[in-house]
Amino acid sequence: MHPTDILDFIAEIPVYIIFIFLCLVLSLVSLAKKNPPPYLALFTCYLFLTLVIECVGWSFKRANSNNLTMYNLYGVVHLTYAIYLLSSFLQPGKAKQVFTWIMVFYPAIALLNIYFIQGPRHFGTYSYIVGAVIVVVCSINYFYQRIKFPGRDNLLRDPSFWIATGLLFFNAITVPYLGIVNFVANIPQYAYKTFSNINAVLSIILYSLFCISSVCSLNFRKLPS
Amino acid sequence: MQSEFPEVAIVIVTTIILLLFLVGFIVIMLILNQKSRLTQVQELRLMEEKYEQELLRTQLEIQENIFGNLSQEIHDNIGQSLTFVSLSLLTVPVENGSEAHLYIEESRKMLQKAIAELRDLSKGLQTERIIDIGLVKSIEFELQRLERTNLYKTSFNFTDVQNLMDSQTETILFRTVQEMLNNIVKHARASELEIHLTHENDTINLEIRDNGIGFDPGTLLEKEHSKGLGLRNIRKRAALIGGTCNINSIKNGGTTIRITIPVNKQPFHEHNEESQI
Repeated sequence: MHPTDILDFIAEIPVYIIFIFLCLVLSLVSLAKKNPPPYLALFTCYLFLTLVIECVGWSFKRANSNNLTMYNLYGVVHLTYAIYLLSSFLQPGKAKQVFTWIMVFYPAIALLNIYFIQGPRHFGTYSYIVGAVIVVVCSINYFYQRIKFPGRDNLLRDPSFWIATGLLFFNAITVPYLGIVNFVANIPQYAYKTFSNINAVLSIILYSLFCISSVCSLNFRKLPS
Repeated sequence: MQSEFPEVAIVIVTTIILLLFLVGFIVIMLILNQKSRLTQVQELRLMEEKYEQELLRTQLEIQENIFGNLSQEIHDNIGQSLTFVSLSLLTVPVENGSEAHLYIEESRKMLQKAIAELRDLSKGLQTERIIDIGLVKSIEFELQRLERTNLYKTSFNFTDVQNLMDSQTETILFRTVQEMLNNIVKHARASELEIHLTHENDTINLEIRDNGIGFDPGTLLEKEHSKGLGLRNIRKRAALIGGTCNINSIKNGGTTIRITIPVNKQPFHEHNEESQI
């Protein structure tokens, strides 16, 4: 392979993949420090999986292959983990219990939709919309609790605040777009490209917020309860 | 290139709108969180104050009970025993003018003095007596006790404060005076002390002044914080009756402690909820 080919290949890598990679590196650095936040180990695994999926998805796209099945399955994992992560940030109580139960049932219902209702050849919009709405509700619940029980630590230094902001923002905005993605696939190319670019911008914002949370995790110290 | 322009513009405008939304959301969350945190801190402080006042009120109630028991014990047992000993000494068969008689007479005089002192102490400890005779008479009585030691020259100026305080406030104020006098006796090395009890507008002012060695109030309060006694107790007691305590002291220039309390317009348990330390 010629060096210019390698440079061309690097230049073609989508920006959001670079952000995911950066986020993963920061997470690993935080994890290596003393007393990392309890969720960080699994969060790092999730970022690694996301990076692998996005790289494979991008290479599939370059080869004009169908990557819908993979994204359908990844969507289930992504949303289930988001619900788990946000419910772990909630104060013990009824809301936390409800979201924990939802987290258990959601993957089963989503897989049922993907394989038996909408089919694996289509993007599982129903399960995606339901999952994203649950994530949004869970995030709102988190912010409500942060206002009602503000705690002693600074909000801007709290990794959970940035993660919840990212998830709320990403899911609240992508619901209307990804909810109609099966329809969008048949619209003119320039409109589809615009939608894809906006989606990429949203991904960049999400992973930038995850990066900030990882930076906050570097200085994380558990306050005595 | 020209055909791509609207697409790029849409993406840029959308990105700007999204970022504005994001920043706005973060700022609003910060403001709400900060507000909530401030309210929480205030509530916590209020709860702590209430708890401290409740604790102090209980301590004072226990103290009053102990004082009552002590007073009764002194009057009924120790006082009676000493009186009996004094009377017994009268019946000792010795000749008048003999050396033994002189010793016995000297002992009787000392016994009488001890009995009188114990009686005064017993009276000072009785809560009912303070309520019966009032704050002014109780303070006068305490000062007379000090005068009798011949170590202090005292003066007491007062205006009529009768019916301006309820009995519990009077008792707490009197116990505070006792604590302050005790501090003067123990630490001040003073020879003169003045008490002013005045009523101005809606406040009652109690001022105790001595010509002792004085102290640095800041340093002493810091020490008191770790030990939790003395001046801190005086401040807390003043706060419990809705008052404030002001301490002025100069090294080798005496000390003035001023307690200002509001005139009792409401019952004791209500106005101590508004008090501040």
